[in-house]
Amino acid sequence: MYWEWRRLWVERTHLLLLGVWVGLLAVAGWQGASMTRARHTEIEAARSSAEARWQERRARLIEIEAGRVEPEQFGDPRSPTSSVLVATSDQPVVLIPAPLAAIAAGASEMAPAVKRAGTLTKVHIPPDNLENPANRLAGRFDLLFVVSALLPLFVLAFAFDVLARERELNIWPLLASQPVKPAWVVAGRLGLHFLLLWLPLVVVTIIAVFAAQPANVSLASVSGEPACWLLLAAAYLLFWQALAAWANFQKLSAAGNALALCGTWLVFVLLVPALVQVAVRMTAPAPDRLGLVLAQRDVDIALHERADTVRDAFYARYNYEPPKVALNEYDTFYVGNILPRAFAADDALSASLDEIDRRRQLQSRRTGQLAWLSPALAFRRATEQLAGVSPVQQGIIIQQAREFQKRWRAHFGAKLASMTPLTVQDYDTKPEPPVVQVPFAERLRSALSAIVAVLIASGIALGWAVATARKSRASA
Amino acid sequence: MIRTILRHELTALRRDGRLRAAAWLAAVLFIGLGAAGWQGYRQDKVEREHFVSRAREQWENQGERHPHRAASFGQYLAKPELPLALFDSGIKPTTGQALWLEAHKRSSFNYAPAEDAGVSSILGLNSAAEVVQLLGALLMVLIGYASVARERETGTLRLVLAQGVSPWHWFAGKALALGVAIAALVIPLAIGVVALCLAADFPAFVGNVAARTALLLLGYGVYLTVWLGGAIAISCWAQSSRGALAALLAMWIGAAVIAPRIASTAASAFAPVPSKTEFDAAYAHDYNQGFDGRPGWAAQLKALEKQALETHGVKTLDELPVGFSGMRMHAMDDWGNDVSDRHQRRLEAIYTRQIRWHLAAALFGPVVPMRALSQGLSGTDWAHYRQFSDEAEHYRRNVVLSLDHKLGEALQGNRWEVSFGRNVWAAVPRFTYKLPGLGWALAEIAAPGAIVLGWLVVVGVLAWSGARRLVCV
Repeated sequence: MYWEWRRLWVERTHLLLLGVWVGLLAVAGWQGASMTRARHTEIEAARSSAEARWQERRARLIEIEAGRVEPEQFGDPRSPTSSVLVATSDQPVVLIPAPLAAIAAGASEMAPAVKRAGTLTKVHIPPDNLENPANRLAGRFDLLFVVSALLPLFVLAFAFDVLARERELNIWPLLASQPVKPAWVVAGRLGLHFLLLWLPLVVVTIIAVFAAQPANVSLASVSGEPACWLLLAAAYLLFWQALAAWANFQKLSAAGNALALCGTWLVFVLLVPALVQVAVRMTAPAPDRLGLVLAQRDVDIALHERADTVRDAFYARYNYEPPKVALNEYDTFYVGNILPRAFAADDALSASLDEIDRRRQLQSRRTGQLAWLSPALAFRRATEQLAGVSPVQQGIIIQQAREFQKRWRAHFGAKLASMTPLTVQDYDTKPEPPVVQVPFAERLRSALSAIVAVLIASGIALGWAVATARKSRASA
Repeated sequence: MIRTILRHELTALRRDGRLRAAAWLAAVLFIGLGAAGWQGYRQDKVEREHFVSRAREQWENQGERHPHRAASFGQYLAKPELPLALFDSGIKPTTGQALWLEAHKRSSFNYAPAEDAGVSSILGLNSAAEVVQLLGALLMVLIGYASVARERETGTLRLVLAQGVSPWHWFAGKALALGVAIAALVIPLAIGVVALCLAADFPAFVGNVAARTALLLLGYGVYLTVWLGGAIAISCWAQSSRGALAALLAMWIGAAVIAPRIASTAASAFAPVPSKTEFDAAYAHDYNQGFDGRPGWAAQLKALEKQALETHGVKTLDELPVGFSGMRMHAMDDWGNDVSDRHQRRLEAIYTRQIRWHLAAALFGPVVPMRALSQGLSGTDWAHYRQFSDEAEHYRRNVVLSLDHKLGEALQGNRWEVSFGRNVWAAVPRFTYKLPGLGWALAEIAAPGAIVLGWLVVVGVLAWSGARRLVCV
């Protein structure tokens, strides 16, 4: 390792490469950390503004009850329709990014960090996303991209001539005559390359993950996750190094090794993932979102047409009291029409929504199966699952929002249906929107298959390289 | 002499196993993604047409409703695509498929396919166009890297020149052979693209689409020539074929793999888009508090009430001889539109700055501008989506305005409840949309087109000076 370090030191190209590697890692780490911090900030802002709005209404209610302020027509905090039916009372259900979100953007770019849910919210409709689609298309320059796509190229650049060079310079007979096995020479050199590539990754990952955490999170509590991912990255790095070692023992020229390794990179990083994408699209089609829109509108029309029946069924089913006082025309419509329809529509749509979840799960399973075809894809999948940014994991926020909506409706349903004025106690006992966090154990469980795929690929490649080295020594 | 050199070069290219392997790889991917694009286009077209007609049917048959609630029920539109979208899906995977036109605000595209994508490809290979952009360029590198350098390092060049062959003839023969190689790639590509477009949507393949296709193929011809010219130029200047290959692969990785993502990251960092929460908060602030000296909505409403009472000489809104609800909704929508325009302009300005950052990545190579050019001609870039969204927004405002008028005409005083039926909903004109013509598209892609041509000039100069160097050998 020492002699290899001296060689690299003399050949400035390798130092330059090392500099580029560290630079790319730094950019990716900074990008991931700042993106995750922005997500935390968005979550915090949504939660605090919703709470402030709620408290403002509560304070106003106290003022009105004390006779210090006159209520407005559309903003009376005692009115259930003005306070817990309108969109401004919707509560933010948030998905807290996992610690490893700083290394992989995954589906989190497309999925909301905050999903508002309330009495009438159609929680299954994704919120508008303001991100420029042209910008999103290119994908993020995150640590996952750097490791899964670029790390193999750096391994290649360092190791393509790790033994072939000696052969080409005719130093091989001299080396073979020394009391050291060529396999150890290769192992020593690759060991140094491993450290040069992996150690900066360790440093950048730890800094990025820790920098992305909000102030109230204890760093000790999240340190296990980057450690786990770094071990996985080490296994992935070993896979490519084993391939490089194997190529070097093949007695090809250095240029031949480089081309063979480039070809392998193209196959595993470009060809197989692209074909897997096509295969998943064809064998497990995406959920029919447009079909859901049409179904939702059909349900809405059908319920609207028999509004009276729906209203009566609503009061009978939930055993709610109808309003005892005469309502203005807005409230009459809200309570007698919109509210019962919203409850009934969700029941009618639940089968379609479950079907969407089922299709997403199927896509995920199919991807997991096909990820075994490429270590790069398996590594990517494992990382996305560990970071909690796969589409299925990001979809949890929608499920949680649906659950929360049920609790919210159950809590305020009776008051809304009877239009009983809200009290301070109603304000104080409102259901709290969930702060969703997928536990690491669960993420690890979902990533397990892909992790095993990476480990097996690394094991096979290492075994193959060792076997080739032995064969090469025997033939020498 | 040139013909002999040409024949020799073509034989060498044909025998090159690495080139064959790379060509197979590109062909498999192109066919795979092309077929998937073809199937996706046909399926999307059927689904889109069904969706739009069903959504319109639902609008017309929504039953008796208040006009404002009908506006809230809204209409759904889906952006039509050119057949070329099957070749280059552009931003389609990350943009929504449908626009919901509702009462109060401009909506953005919803239901992006990428939201449900079970797998994110590592290098974002989503379409056949990206295969040509990435692997076509790589093929050109493999074809061109050794063209001059290997002849020099094996001594063949000296031998050839010693035979009395003019260096310019030799170089011309080489260039011609490599031109044939480009043709061997572009002609099947052209046949493939045209055949897929014809198979997917035969009647649409006329005028605008045919002209766009021709320009698109010309663009790819230029793009591949840039890579091949660059490979030859580096081959002329490099000390060895190994060095030329290393330099060209580094350039390819820089331009095709790293630059697009770095550009995206830089765009997000230096032209950040506000989060939805921030955007909504800013919108709500301007709506409620006002801007540019104009008061917020509550104050405007008070002024409107006062003005209505004074104009008609009555004391309460209930006594008004006209419908105040219609006036209020009209004023509210006008104000909402002004606030929306203000924030939309800001958002668009950020997008424009982001797209400039993307074009800045053209310094690394022609991949990013070619991507923009290809998406622009295929009608799948942001400019096309924005144009559709603008037209849809114009339509939405007209529909909402007409419903506000209906509300005003139907009621008197401060009454609100009134219902209309099918005859009113069916009288709302259908949304008609014509995809922009070639001239419009060319104006939108002028910058990336000029950059690709700029790269052609750069590599032309480099190759010419490299060839001059050979003459002096």
